[in-house]
Amino acid sequence: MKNLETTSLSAGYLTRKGEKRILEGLDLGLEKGQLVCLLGINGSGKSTLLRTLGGFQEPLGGSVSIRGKFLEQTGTRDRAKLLSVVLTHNQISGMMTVREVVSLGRYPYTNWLATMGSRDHEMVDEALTLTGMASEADSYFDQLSDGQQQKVIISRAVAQDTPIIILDEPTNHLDIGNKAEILQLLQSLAHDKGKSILVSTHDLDFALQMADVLWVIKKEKVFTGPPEQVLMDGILEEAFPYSGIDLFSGKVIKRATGPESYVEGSGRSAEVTRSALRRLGFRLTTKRNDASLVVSVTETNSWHLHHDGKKLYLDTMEKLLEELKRLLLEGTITQ
Amino acid sequence: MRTFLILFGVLLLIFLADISLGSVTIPIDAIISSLFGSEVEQDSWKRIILDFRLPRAITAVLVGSGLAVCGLQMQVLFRNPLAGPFVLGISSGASLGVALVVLAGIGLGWAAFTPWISAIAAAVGSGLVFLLVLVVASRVKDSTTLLIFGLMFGSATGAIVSVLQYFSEAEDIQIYLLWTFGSLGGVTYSDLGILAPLVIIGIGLGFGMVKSLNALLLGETYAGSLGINVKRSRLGIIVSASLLAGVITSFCGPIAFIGIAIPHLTRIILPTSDHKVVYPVTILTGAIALLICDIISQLPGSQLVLPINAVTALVGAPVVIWLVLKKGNIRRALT
Repeated sequence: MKNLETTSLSAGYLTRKGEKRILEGLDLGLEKGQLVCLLGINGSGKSTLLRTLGGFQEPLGGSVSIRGKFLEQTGTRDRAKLLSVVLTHNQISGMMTVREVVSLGRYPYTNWLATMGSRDHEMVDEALTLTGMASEADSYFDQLSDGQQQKVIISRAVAQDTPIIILDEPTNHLDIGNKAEILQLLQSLAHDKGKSILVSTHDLDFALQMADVLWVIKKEKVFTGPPEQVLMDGILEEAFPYSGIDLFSGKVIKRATGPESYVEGSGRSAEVTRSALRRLGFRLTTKRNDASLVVSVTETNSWHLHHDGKKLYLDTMEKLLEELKRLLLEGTITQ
Repeated sequence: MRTFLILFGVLLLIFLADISLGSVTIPIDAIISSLFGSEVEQDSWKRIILDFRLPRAITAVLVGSGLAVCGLQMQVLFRNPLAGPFVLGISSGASLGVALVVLAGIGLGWAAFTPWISAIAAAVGSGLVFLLVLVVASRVKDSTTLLIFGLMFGSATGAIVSVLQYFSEAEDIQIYLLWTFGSLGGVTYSDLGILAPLVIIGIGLGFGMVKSLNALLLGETYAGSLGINVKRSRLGIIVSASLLAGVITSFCGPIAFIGIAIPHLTRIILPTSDHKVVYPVTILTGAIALLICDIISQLPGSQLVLPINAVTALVGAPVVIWLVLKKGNIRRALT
């Protein structure tokens, strides 16, 4: 049995004029132990879908079932034992310690006074350890960095001990290191703890590297499959009709119109030099003979610039960049 | 727990001080024997203590803790540090009721009930607004709408009262103004028979909501995902807060400041936002604060009495500003 399943689900919202359907006829399934990344452009309905799957919004048609039970037939409290959520923004008011925030995850299991038993304390400790936040347990939540806060919120979801965790763009506004750490954390929760994790994100490159399955929203439909299959079928290109980005690498495509250049050498310095040329608008060629400009990187991190029969020695990156800009400006290099 | 016991001790001391101090100086042994029902040197002392100062001090305890708890609930529900007991428009309803009776002379056929008339008018006014708030609360999806409703209602009532004042006799205006000054002294033992149980019910109902209050610190979506029935919790909080605000305003007039300031003060003292701790401590600090204000308003040793409403703000504002600045965590305490 799947952890979560939808049958011809339609999602959207009600307006004064009637229903506004954003997604239609969805038959989706979340397996145990899977990390699923939900991709789609802004306004494609990612949040609407997640809200509908989480039971925060009524479906406009079809049904959602969790472990074989229809979502609308489960009470708020039972649902909280099956499904936990993490949102983009965590505006927690007041002064709470990390441990207090994570303990909120035990609310579906505690009495009206939220009295914690030994099992509850164990679960909280375990969740804190798993996310690497145990050392911050007694810090105040609002004094942590954004990345740490998000980890605490995820710890809370872990402490909630649900087979499904739904996360709505949890890595937005985090730096690249934190993004990677959070996705690694989610992957290990799926693979090692057997949870079904559904996370929406704008980080295509991370999603392609980490997800077991991608859900890609394209024109009111959701296409699913392993990342490689989605790439092969060209679904990403259709779902993200952007010309400015290379979807496979996630790199910005620079419209290079400048002279052909060739970088001689290997290693990090050569990589950086290529990236500098690309940024300034030079085209890079793989054949030395085609190039009107050749930059060779020496072992001592300095550069020899060959062009037009002349050879120039530059000992810092700053000087190299200046020289390259001057060449471009003067237009002395023939193509 | 230690803080709680200390504060309880302080409450007892201040309570005794409130009974001991007043325009008539009474020796401490006479006060103690009056309280324990033994014979006292002068019969008038016993009467002053038992018939005036004791009910007045009990009223201060009930009103102080009731308003403080009410403000706490509103601040959490609306996630707004400026919210207080009167944001829902309950006291505006009471003011309108009193203004209509006193200024416009509606229902003055009951003039026989003079001491009771403003209390009845206030109770009817706040009761009607209470029902209106309940209807609105059960229809709207988010709390902000409710907050705006309360504010708009407050402004509209203020305008009506202004118009009424403009067309009223100076004498009537003075009666109305006296009511808005607030008073703890007008409450007799038979009034306490109504006030006390209602305030205790309101505070008790609110205490039943501490788990919801904690969950609401994460916002309504998270609270829902933690198994809290947000709609039901919101109604519970509103019933508790409106009951307290309505009953207290009916008997004592609109007493400002306590409801907004005391919850902040309590959080700064503790410092935590866990309502299992904050709620009971707020009951104590609210009672202590209003008792102190009552002592000051009596101007011990003189024949003068200041309106309680002026004292709460005059004494309270500098104290809160000092505490907030000294602790240096303005933002954390207030959000």
